[in-house]
Amino acid sequence: MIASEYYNNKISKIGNQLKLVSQELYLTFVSNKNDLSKYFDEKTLVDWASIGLNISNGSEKNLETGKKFFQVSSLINEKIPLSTFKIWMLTVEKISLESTSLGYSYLISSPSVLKFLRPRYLQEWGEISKNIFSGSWKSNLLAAKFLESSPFLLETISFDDLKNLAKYCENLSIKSCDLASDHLDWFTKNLALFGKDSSDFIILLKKMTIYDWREIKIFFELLDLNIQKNKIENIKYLIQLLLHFYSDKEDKSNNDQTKKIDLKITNYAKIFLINTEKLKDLDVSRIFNFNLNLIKYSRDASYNLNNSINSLLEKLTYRQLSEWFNTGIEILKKDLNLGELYFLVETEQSQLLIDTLSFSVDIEREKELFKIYCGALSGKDLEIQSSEKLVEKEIGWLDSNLATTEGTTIFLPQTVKRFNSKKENFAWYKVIATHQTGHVEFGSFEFNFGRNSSLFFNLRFKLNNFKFEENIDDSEINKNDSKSYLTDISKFLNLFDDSKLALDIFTLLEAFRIDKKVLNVYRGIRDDYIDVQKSALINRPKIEELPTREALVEILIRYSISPDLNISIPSKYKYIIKNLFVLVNKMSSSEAIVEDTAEATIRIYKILSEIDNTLEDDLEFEELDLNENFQDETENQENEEDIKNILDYFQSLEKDLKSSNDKNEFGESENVSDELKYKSPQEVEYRGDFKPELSQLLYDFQLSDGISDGNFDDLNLNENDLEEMIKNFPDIKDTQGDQSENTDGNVAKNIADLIENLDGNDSNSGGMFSDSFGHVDENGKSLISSGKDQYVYDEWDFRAKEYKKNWCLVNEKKMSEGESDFYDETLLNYSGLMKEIRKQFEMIVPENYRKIKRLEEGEEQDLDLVVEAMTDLRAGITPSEKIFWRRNKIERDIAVAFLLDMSASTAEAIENTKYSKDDWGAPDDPEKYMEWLRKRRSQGIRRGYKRIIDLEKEGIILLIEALETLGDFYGIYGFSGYGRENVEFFVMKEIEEKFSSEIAKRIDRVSPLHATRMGPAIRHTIKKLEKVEAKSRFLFLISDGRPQDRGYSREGVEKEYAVNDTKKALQEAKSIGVTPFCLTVDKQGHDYMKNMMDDMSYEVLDDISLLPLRLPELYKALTMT
Amino acid sequence: MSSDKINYKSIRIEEFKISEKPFYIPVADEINIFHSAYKQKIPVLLKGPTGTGKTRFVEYMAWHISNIVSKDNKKKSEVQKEVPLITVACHEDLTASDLVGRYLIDPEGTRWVDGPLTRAVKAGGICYLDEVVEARKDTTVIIHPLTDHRRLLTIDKLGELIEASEGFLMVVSYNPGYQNALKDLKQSTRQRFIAIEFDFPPFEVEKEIIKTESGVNDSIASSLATIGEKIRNLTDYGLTEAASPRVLIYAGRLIKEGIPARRACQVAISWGITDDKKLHKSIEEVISAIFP
Repeated sequence: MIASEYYNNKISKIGNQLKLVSQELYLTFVSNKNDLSKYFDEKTLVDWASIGLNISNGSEKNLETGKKFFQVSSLINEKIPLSTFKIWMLTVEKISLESTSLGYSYLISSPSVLKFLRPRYLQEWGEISKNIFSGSWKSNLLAAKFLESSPFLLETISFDDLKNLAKYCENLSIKSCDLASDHLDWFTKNLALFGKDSSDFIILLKKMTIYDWREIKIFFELLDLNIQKNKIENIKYLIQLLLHFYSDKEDKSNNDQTKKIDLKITNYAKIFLINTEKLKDLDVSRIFNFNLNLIKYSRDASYNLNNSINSLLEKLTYRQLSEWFNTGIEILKKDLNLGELYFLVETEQSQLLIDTLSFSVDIEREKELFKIYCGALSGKDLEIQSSEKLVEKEIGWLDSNLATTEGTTIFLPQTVKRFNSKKENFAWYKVIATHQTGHVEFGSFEFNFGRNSSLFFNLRFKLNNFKFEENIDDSEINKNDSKSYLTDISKFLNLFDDSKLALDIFTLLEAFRIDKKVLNVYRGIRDDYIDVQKSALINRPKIEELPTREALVEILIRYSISPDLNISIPSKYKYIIKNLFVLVNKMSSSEAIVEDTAEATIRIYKILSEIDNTLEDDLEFEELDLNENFQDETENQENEEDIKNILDYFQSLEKDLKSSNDKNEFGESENVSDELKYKSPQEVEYRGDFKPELSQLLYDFQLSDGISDGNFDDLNLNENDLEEMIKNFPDIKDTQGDQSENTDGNVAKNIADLIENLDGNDSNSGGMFSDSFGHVDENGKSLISSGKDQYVYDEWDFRAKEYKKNWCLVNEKKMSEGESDFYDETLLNYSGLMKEIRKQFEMIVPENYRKIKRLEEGEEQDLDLVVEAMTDLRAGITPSEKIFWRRNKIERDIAVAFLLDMSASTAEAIENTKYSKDDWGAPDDPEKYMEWLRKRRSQGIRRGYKRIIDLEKEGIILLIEALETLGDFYGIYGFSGYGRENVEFFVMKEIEEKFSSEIAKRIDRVSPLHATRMGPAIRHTIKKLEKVEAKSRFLFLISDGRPQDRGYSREGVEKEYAVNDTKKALQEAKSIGVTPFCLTVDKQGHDYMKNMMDDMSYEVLDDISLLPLRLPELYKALTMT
Repeated sequence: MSSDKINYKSIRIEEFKISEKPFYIPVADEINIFHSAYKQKIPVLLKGPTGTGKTRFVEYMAWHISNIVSKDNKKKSEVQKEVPLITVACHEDLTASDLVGRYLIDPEGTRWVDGPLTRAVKAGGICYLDEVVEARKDTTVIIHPLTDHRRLLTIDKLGELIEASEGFLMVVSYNPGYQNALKDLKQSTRQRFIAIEFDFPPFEVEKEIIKTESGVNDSIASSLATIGEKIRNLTDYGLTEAASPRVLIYAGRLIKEGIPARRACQVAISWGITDDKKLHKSIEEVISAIFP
């Protein structure tokens, strides 16, 4: 009681004093006092009042400040706890006593700053501002400005950043207050542009005030210039680089023995910004990475690099540039001076390397060209890839410098830099690409065990019978051997004991066959081809040093590369070699097919395996005169005796094998000779790495992918089988050498994985939408938006026939940027279709302005028609009244929003609907199976496993290209989410946004997410369309199924709730003049779509693969009316 | 006035006859089919991409019918009339009166002039409407009664019906490649014709055609045919129309004139069929792979 009285007295005393200062002030005090006394204890109230009095004393400004203090107090009190309020109060007092105007600024900015700042920082915020004030009136103004700008700045930056900014102002104000003040304005205006880089930016500036304050002004001019040019991204990169600029100064500031004049930071910045100005985003980010790496070693080197970067990019690909760069870094590490010059391209080494690199042919540059080239030659849709990609997969290919193919992709070495001119390198590249394409074009992988050869008697069938007959009584082996082979080539190679030898023969014969075919058809590259062949003969192993069998194989290889060459051969085997050559030569016949290669392999194998693989020292060599040897062609016609010989030979081998198997337990056979284990010959580089078995396996699987959902079962293929098969691969056995079998296992596993992927069993699809997400009670209350990009929408409850108020929360996000590869590839893959679409869309525009003739009324009479009518009149016939023409002016004024379904179900691989399930009747017999697959291939199945979402994306990309020709306004959005409080709404392109490469990159990121709550997404899109002024507005919904979400398609009422809400949302669209259209790829769509779309138009697309094609068509049809 | 007269040959369209045997290699039984259709008075629709020989085929058949028919029927009537060939290239402003005829003003008043179709009907010739889908829709009104059993040409303005003469046959052509939803043949029109499909000829035939038409040797003809075949593989890569035998023949003719083969192919094939720079590069690599 007493205390209370004491305080009351105090208050009234202060009141009186205030009254003395100003009546107005007193009134403000009283009204706020009454308000605050509800919250404050008496002591605080008195403190509060006395602070007010304290700061009001003095000039007019003091009075204002005091008044403001009383006014703002209640505002502040609402927002912060009492304890903090007390501190705030004291801060006000402290600042005001230092400078009244500063106190005033603090007061007026406090309420708005609290929107972004935690109350406990209020005091610190005051403190840092006060620090800027150094006593001068200019610094006073600056500090006040800082206080007043704070709320705006805090919108984009954190308090820590603000502290740094204050420090920056403080540092700079020592040199120039005006500059600091200008910059505060600048920050308020521009800082938001820097996004999350603004912290770094401020830190950089702070450093600049310490080391380089004179440069700051120029630096800002530079920034302004580039902001005008909209090069924010480049500035962000620059900031990251400049942060390293002072690192050495910080490290060893005492150790100040600079050897030369320091590079000015603004000069560096200028060079970087100028040189990156015209580059593509991807290039800039790459250059940034180079620089980031470089600037750690030397700022000057980085500066030099930026100076020369444009001319480098013209000459080199990114990959080549990296190589050049890395060499430079190595030099830099050893010799700073030399390194810096290197990056200016002033050293000989640097120049030389650039020349070599720029002469080289790089796959990145030629990919497109060769894709079309190889496609034209083979008539198949071939991909071009770097061999490295294949080696990385670890499925048996080991050398990334060799070209190869597995029938659907041509793998080429990353770069060719064998010669000192681009022309020669390119010619070499073209030769190897043509050779690989030849394997596809001339059917290397279409080997069919059962197909007749065209030049030989078919020994394969007989040999196969031996295998079976021999084992017929031995059930154990029989089971193994009669197993179905994965490929026809495996089956064929399995006929031989030494399958490695057989494969080597097969490979060289097949390569020879392809060479001959290529040279025959493609006479234009003959010269280059022969050059390549000639150079392939250099560095072959010496025949004289090889054991006999290998020597013969080597002779055959040389002969197959260049039959005109004079080879020195061992005289002893002259006739055998002659016979071999005749066999090889048969492959040059225009009728030779891959089965002929197989037959010739059998014959050559027989001859070679009869020769011991020993080193014979006493051999005599002679030059083989080819002319002499080939005169008696006719003699070489195969007769029955020859065939019988071969058959007998293999039959006996088979018997030997069997008996040796039996004897095996008794140890080594007595036949201990000096015979060496046969080794495969050195590969021929231009012919690449030919792996028929593996290739055929992959080839066959790629043809069949996506058709069945259980290829493994159908083929009895599992990892063990594969492993077994791979263990038997002669070429892998060879390359893996004596390594443990684990490697084989890995390879098998990798292949199995690969095949599984091809098979389209994506483990990611489905199951994404699980219970792991946080639940919100479905019967809960309304939601409120709590952030900038959150919106709440009502939802329609069809049973209650009313809206649930504020039921759904939509989070709008800008889609992050990926790569533009998907976009570019889509355009490339569909370039044919794209042309067509673009043409059709281009036709829309002139149609709008076309002169329409033969009208009953119009702008003017058509002279021709008038003459016609007059003639008719004279001739006494009723003339036509339609003699007018009019220009048809229908201006397009269209805004359209595309809404993509990004639900988890869009991750499903599309099944190729061209082949329904009934069609799936794969024969069990592997031979027939392969034939069956091949048939399918010829019917034009495309390789590749695509998801629904990919097709949605492709459709949109094609449409974008088309829409750009039309000039319609369009926005692209995607949606997904989980639960009503989490509807995700992604913006790929706003309606008013101009198309740019960023949008292409955003589309790349469109991927399957969670569920499909269509209603709120539609409502949000409507909101966007509402803001656009256009004569006709459309909402184009692309989905893959019915709407569904947790609590959206609720139990009992089945899916009707969701369907009805969606319907309602679409009706809302209609009611504000937006025409909705729904395209669904759900084949079950007909049932609910009819209900959902009511009288609105929709289309159910039965064949999903038509989506990219159909979308532009639909759009055209929809907007033309 | 100078008395220099420009000499030129002018014939009335209904008297245009193919007197020299045009060069045509049949791919299948199309000659027989056409011939039978002619005898049975069934109109013929020729479909196929540009440059595949549709027009040449009609010319050949006009010659064939005039000459072969008259030999066969020697016994019956010694003087079998030669069949005239009247070709009308259709365009989007081609109206019915352009086909049938119209009144023209002359000093005495008006005078009726027959259109090409009327002339063909009267003369009993083959009337070939090229790219018929391009013509205005009102032409179908005239085409329909002429192409079914009635074989009547209605001339509204004269108030006349003309019965087609014995040898009259309507042949139309169109290219489904250009097909556009707006410009498609109506079923009611389509089903009045039998259709013969034209496509790029098989390799050997094409080689022979190139050889004969351009006069190049066998190996060049074979290379050109290969180029044609390879480029036709590219329709998936953005080529709207593949290289037709016609451009291959042009290339051949330039080669015959002494233009280097690669260059001839570049101007006749690569640059002709597309404007796409990337495709040019790839196509030229194909050409340079085939022609040295």
